[in-house]
Amino acid sequence: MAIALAPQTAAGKWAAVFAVAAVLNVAVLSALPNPVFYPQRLGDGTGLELGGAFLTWAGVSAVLGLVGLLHYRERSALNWVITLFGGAAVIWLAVQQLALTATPL
Amino acid sequence: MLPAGRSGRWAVSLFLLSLFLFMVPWFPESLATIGGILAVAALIGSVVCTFASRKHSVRDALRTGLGRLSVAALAASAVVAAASLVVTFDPGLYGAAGILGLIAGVLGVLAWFRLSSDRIRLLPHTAVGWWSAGILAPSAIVQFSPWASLSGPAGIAATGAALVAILCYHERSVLSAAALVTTATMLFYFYALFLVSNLIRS
Repeated sequence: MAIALAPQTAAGKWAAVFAVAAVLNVAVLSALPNPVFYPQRLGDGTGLELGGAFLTWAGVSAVLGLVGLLHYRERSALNWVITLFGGAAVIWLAVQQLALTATPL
Repeated sequence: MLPAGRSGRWAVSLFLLSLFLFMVPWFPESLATIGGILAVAALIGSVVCTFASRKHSVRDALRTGLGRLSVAALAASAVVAAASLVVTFDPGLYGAAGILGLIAGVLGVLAWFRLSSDRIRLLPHTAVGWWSAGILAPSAIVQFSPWASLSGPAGIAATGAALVAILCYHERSVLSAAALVTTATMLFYFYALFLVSNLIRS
């Protein structure tokens, strides 16, 4: 059985859209001239920091990829990459956020 | 894959655009607030555009019973918010205004469901719909814990899942409607509070 490269279901395709948007957003944020350094904590200062920005997008993407995998027989290579990489990124960034915010200053 | 019709595409583009806007680190504080309000307004606008098809206009939705209830809740929310910000300075009252706004949003989405003469259920009947509701619940609970920083990303994930469920998998349930509007509404009231209190102070 040949494994498709591109996602076949709506959930998988949307996961891909959000993954592309995540990469684009981080690229845009890194390229912007930023007079104030990214705040170290979520909610501390004016914007979300870079990791938080990626976390939000990758969260949507990983959830949709997982849903496609579990419920809609989405078995494409791209979907595996998005789900595994997105899920790993979400766990890693979430642990970092918790280390920053949940410890008393 | 893309939702049929121009309005669905507008909805998705607005949703993506608003997430981008939301993530840009603006530097002065007032600009940050305005940027946040714009982003959240785009998010709410995307939710509205989701259901504005060629066949039905916003006016048609407002003529249904649910639509009238939604407008009434929105008006009550505005009155309560104004009272809390100008007269009593009570944060609890402002929270009540936010809850009224949330009810107005859910009722508005349900009015759109009703307009397309679909059966509205309480519980989701698609897998994505269940996921959207299932992510929303911990996101709301975690807000009151030391892990509050994860609440926002989880809420946006619930919004995205609900958007895909409603647009692509024909999900018509109360829980998914709540997952669609909760994060946007909460963020809107949060930023509006900053803007108004800045205006009052200056």
